[in-house]
Parts: sequence; structure tokens; C-alpha cells
Amino acid sequence: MTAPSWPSFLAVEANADGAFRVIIILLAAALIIKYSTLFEEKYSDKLTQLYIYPWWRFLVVFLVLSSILWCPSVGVIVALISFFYLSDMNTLITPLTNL
Amino acid sequence: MIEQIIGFIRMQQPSQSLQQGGAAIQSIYTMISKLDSPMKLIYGFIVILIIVYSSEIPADYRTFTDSFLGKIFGVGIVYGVIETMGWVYGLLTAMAFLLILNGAPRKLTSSLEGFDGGGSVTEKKAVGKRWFVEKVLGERTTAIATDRVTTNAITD
Repeated sequence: MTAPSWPSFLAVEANADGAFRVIIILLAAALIIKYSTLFEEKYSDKLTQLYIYPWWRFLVVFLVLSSILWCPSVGVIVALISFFYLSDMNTLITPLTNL
Repeated sequence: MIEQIIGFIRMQQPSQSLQQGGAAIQSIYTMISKLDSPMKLIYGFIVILIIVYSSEIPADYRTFTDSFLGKIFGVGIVYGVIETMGWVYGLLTAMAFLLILNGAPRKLTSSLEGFDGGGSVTEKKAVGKRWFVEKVLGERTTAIATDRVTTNAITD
């Protein structure tokens, strides 16, 4: 029985571009850990205020798309961050009685 | 010497701009040729719209998504999209599905009143202006369970 291998489309190459991708992935992972391990970690005021504008949410989705086109690994983790952000902001603007 | 260099640069500019223009057109052609089929693009555009305007989706659709059938249906759609259109569209579909699911009203908790002790309480109609806290939290009080507070002295 062989050990499960890392999916090829999530692998990065051993060059400068690959190193930069790994750095971005580590930064994104640190961001997720920061917001998920600390209780009620507050988003910055600008992120909160910008959510109500549709063009900002379009930019967030295009950030996910461009990340996916650049590197699938980065795209997956940026999609995760974007989902948490959009989900939290959606909960924030929902009236308490509708939760 | 400087005039010669400027003249050389002036001579080079048109050809460079033509080359740059040709490269830009070539890259646009390359991009168009590598684009997905129109059906996929339309689907992707619709999914992006759902993600962006997920907060505007009516509660009925969210409630259905939160049901057992809705979850099975949603996971099936995500799996089908990954199999037919690729993982990029599948990832976007999963985001849209989870955002709809996350915003579903939680009936079990929203129907419970925190201050209702469960005993025999005389319900009173809410009269007068909305309280400040009700305006801030977006609550619309329909009835008041009790307006009296019973306190007891602290005993050892």
C-alpha cells in the first residue's frame, strides 16, 4: 500500500515563483489561524465598511479568481479566507432576530 | 552625440510601439482563444453574482438549502460542477453554496426567548416607541412576556 501523494495541481516548483507562492500560502494560513483561534477577533474598520459596496465584493471574488489562475494552492486558501470574510460580514449586517 | 541618441530613440519609438501593440493584440487573441465556452462563462458569471449578492437571497431559498434535501442537492451540484466544468467552477460553486447555507435562519434558536422561564406568563402587547436597543439590533417586538422584575435579598 503506497502512501497518498500530494495532489500534483497543488504542488509548487522549486524556484523563486514557487518560493513566493509558499510565502503567500503561509501568510494566508497565519491570517486564518489568527482569526479562527482568537475569540471575536475584530475585522478592521475599512473591511467592515467596504462590505456594503457591491464593487468591493466583486473585487474580493476577482481576487479569488486571479489567485486560482496564478496558483491553485493559493487560490484554494484565498477562497477560504474570502468565504470567512463574506460569511462574517453577512452575519454582521443580518438583524439579530433573523439569525 | 546626444542629438544622435535622441534621433535614434525617435526612430526606435514607432517600431517599438507597433511591436508592443502587436504583442497586446496577440495576447488578447491568446486570451480569447483560451477562454472557456460561453455556457461555462455564463455559469461562472451567475455564480459570481450569487456570491456577491448572497446577502440579498430570500430566506425561503436559504431555509430550503439548510434542509436535508437542500444540503444533498447542494453537495451534488458542487460535485457535478467539479466533474463537468472543472475544479475552478466547483470552488466558486462551493463558495456560493456555503454562503447561502450560512445565512439560513436558525429556527430552533430564533424561536426561543432567553428571558422566558417557561412558566405561566401573561403576554402583554408591545406599546409605545421602539427601544433604542431594538432599533440598533433591528428587533421588532411583537409582545412582552413580563414587565416586572422580582428580586430577592442575598442570603448566605
